[in-house]
Amino acid sequence: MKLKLTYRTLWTLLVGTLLMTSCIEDFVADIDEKDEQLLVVEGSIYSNSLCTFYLSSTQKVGGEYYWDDVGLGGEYGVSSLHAPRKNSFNVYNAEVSVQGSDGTSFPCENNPYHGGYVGVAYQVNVGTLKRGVKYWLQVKLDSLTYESEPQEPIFAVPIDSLSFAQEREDLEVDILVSTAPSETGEPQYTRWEYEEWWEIYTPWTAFMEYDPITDKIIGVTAMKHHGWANDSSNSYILANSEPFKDNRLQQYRLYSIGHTDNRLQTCYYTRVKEYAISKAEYEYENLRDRQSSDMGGIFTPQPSELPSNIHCLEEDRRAIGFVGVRGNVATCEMYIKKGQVKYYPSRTPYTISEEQVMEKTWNDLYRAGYQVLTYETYPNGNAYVQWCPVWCIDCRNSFWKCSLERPSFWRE
Amino acid sequence: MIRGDKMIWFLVGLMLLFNLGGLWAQTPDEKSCQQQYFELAGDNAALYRGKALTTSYQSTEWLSHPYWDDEEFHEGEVSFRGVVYPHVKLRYDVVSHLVEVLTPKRGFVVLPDQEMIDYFTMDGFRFVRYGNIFVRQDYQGRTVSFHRQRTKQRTNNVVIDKYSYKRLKTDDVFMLHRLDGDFEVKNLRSLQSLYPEYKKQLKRHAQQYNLKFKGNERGRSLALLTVYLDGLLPASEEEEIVVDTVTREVEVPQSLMTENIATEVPAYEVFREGSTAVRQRAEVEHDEGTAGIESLKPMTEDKFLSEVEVTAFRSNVGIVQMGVEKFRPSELRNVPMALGESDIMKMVETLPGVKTMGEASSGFNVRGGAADQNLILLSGNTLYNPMHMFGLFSAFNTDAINDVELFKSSIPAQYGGRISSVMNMTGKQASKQEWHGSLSAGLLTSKAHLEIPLVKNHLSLLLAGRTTYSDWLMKKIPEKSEYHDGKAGFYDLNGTLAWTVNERHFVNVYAYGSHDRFSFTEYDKYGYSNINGSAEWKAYWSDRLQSTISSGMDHYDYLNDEKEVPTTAARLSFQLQQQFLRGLFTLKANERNEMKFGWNALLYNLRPGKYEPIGMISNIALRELERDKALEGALFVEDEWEIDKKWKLNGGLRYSIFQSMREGMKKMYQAPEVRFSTSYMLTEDQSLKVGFNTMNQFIHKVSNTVIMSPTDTWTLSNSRIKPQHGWQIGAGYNMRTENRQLELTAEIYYKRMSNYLTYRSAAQLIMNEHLEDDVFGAQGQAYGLEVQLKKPVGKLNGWISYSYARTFLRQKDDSVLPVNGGDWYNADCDRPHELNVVANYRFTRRYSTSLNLDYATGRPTTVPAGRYFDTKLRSWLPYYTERNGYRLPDNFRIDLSFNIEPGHHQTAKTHSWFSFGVYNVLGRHNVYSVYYDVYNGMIRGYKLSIFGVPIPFISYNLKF
Repeated sequence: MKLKLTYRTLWTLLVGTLLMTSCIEDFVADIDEKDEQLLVVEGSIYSNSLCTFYLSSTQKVGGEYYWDDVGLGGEYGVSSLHAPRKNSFNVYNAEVSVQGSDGTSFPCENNPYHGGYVGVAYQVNVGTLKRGVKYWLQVKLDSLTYESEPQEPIFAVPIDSLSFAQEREDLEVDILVSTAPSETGEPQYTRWEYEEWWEIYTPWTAFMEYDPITDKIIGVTAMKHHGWANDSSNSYILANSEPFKDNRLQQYRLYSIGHTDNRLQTCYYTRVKEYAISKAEYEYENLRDRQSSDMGGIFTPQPSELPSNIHCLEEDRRAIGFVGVRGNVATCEMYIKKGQVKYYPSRTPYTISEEQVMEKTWNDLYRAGYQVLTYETYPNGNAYVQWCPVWCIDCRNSFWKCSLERPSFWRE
Repeated sequence: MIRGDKMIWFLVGLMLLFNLGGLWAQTPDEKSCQQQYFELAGDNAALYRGKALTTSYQSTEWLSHPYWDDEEFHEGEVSFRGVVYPHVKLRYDVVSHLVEVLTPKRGFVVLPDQEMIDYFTMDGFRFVRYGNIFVRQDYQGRTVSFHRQRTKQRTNNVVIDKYSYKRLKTDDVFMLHRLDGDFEVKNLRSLQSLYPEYKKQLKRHAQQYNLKFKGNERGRSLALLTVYLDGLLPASEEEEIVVDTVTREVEVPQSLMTENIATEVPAYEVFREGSTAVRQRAEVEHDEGTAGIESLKPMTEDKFLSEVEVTAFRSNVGIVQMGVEKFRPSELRNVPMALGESDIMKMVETLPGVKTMGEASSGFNVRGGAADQNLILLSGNTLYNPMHMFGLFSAFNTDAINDVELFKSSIPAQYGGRISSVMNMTGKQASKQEWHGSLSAGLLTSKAHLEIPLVKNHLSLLLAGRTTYSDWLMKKIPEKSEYHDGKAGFYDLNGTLAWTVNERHFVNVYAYGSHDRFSFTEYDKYGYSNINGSAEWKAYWSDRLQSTISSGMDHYDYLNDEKEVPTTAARLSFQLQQQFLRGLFTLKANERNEMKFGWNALLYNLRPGKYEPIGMISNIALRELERDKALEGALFVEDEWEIDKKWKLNGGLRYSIFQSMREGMKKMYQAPEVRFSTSYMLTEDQSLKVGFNTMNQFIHKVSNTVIMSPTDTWTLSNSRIKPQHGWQIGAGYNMRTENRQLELTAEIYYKRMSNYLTYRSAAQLIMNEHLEDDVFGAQGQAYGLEVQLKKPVGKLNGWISYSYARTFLRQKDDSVLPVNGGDWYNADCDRPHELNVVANYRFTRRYSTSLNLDYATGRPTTVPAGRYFDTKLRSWLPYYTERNGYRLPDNFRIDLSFNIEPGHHQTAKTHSWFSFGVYNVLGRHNVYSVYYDVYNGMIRGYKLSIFGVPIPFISYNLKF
């Protein structure tokens, strides 16, 4: 509910901002160390898919680790793939396996080069999960054994339709999904992910470019005005069919794209994945989301420990995580093409003035983020050079984040 | 259902039986009862229930006085409502033509209801009604009577020794009353013209006795002539003699004459000469108390009213109950409050044993109980959400409330249904004689009330309303903010129709409504409402038996619209209704024994949740949780017994029955509840008390927030949600100084609660068909010490209270992972130390200052124990410690206010006063809540202070 957020906001705004009486100061609680260094497990057991479990441990609230410490560097806070650093909160020495109630066991391999964030990856392919068989994750660490709650595979209902809607030209585009009714008629709890690609054309096309090595303007080595970018969901999208007619999601908004977002420029493609989850996992995810977005306010629900389904067998020691068992994944894809929605470019292309060009060297302009748009030489030996920001002609620029490689599935 | 109906009829039958019993009540000895009554009632007798009076006639300014003979009070008797009051000290104002009486015990000058006075005697003369005034009956004969009518009027000022004095001129008019009318007589000649046939006899008689008809001798001479004349008139006319009012020497029920002496305190009004003069209401406690009007002296400045200081808190020394607080909203006027708004709930929160979650939070906790364990009654109606704007204001208009009672421990048997406390507010009734009203304007709110006498002395209507104009504040938010289009506001309305059917029967109709609305964007809307209405019939069957039958309806609802995404636009709503029928009978068996008994029947009707689409394109399915109904009934009996002068005992038994009517979860619960308290007077000014009570609660608030929020829902007990049960034992010591300037109260208590409804982690509390799966009953225990030192009178008055209180909860439920491993943990309201000081110092009668000091230990809270990294979200997330394992910093706050009572000019028809001051004068950043944000991988905690700086306030009040 949005209410949780708005209560505190009301107070801050109405009583605080308006009357100028409230104030906000830092608060540091003196935390006991008994609750530190807890095992954290991320990941679930997937049928016919490579299962990846990230193991790490908790640290103090005021820990001094920043993005770089967890391998999240780079311009957008997303690093390229590399091994997580050796630090106190990554768990390297665990024995991890997936167990089945039919006696099967699937040991996971430590793959320290997977991921790049906090948490050491342990991977295994468990093949096809069988109906009626319960599966769970087992972690052996420092003479302690942790196990998740055994659970039968849960199967997602098919996706009935994937569509989009833009209520007004100046509003965002909603990606909507509808599911088929469940066989049992029971409420469906689902978790959604998506992968997306979009096609970009830069405003202008350049056939010449400045080469900083030779300090010359040369013909382009590759056409850079056309490319494709991709991304994937980076949040937990949860849905509960209970409020909907026939206990099925109908035109349920998964996410939205702003009307000035580059993704809508030419052609947008999304591939949606649906996983069925248990009600307990749904509550766990919800509570985690709630506690991370709004914590401790007097009008917000009281925080409480996460209802993890991972327990230590030997000691009364907490662990954090919820390992679900997915029997299948339902997918659906969709294109949104230019003209189907209203898109307003967020930037207007421009060239820099001749005076600016004259004042600086080509190399200075290059370093300042400009590139050659046009270069014309005249018979009298004079040349006319027009410079523009790189993003106007190169879709690989950070503004577009494209690659020139066309996705194999992409259709015209 | 069938059982419920049967129970209702059973209760109705009992009610009728009790009423018949009242009709058979006997009055063994009228005269002795009446004398006993006068002795017992003292200042509270009906004659003295009027406006307290002060004079504006000062000897330093006036050469004369407005009274019949002199300013002194003369002993006489007054026939009031047919009851003759002997040995009354009185005087008669012949300027305003008002009879003033002196109360026998405290000696206050009071103006009785003039309409109810049949006649009075003074200095051996009988004064009888003559139109709207009284005239002195100098002679009552067989055929004629002789009256003296005296009036006084203002004349020109007189200058003596350069000082100007005002004076009144006395005019006496003499009237001869006979069968065919009244005739003014001035001298011998005027009498002769009336009786020409006795002209000579009259002249002869005047000469014989040397009668003079000028100056002071005129009256006496005319009277003597009238006596003579009466003897001359033929006897045949005897049958036509005009007979004066015949006094009915009948017994009047004590309850009628004192008008609820046990539960109400008489209200006096300071009243200057002239009916349109300024009024100021003051309260005087009844005999149980020590304090009241500190002074009621003539003012020292001409043209201005004197001040009446009011402290109506009842003394606790002489009463048998423990943990009882009574006060009147008028006391709030000088207590500094945030935003300058007088607030009953904020006043309650300064009392020992009452705690809140924050300085602007909704709801309160009494002796470790949850906020929903307090029964809040307004004129018999239950309010489920007593706050506006999340707790910034209470939902009660102080202009519409007469008095407030808070029962923390010794809860009378007539109340039930909650296990912690009962807060009972009695609605104010409008004057049946005159129009009254008031206006008040503050920073955020305004309120008004109007008292309308629809039928003089019989029917009156009180209307009161309050609203806020806070929308403009939201507009002050920068436009770029998404909340610029937000709105917030509230209003509440009160109405009381009071009908005096006759001397024994009174009917009151109460209505209350409040509504809150707020939205943050154009896409959302929140709102909640209280609607209450009831009718009450009070009957005084005899001086020993009275009954109060009331019936009504209570309603609470909220809604939440979310329309941001048209395809999922929906409204969530909740509704709670209850109808009730109550009967309360009070039987005074003898001087030392008073019994109360009756019934209470409640029919609950809950709509736990409705989720419905908004708009044509919304795909949300209409979904409504199954309605829940239940019937709650109770029979109770309570007896207060004064065993001897030192030892009092109050014992009560309440038998509660609850029948859940929810399909599939029907269940009947029934249990006796014990109420017991006793007091022993060590000396006249010291007492010891012990009390024990048990309570049951069948309706529960379902919430996972620290304080009451608008979207809290309520649920009823059923086969899976058991009733909450609590018991409390306590002991107390009360002491007051000999001069009754100071009073000390100290109480200790221990309390246990079971099935204290709380929620499990990740509980879904809204629109949950299986709510019982997400909540569980916890055990609770609380204990503490409360000390209060009161100084109710004097230039410096107020109180200091300190409480040490602990409250713990424990989850003993093997079916779920218990909170904190099943160990005792601190409840949200566990704040061990709390100190309150409320003080008022009066510099002069017009200027005073007030102070409010509040200290409290920080409330428990749950804090993040650490963080972990989520690879999917690419961010650090918190995880939490055990529930309520930590505490917020302590609270400390001082508020100051300065009050000015403008001069009360004689000719003024209105009375106004200002109050201004500073809330949180130290500017201390008291923590309202702590919350956490994740920023750049760091979890940072923040303390939010609502009133983190000194807040000046001003309020203007007008009364007419």
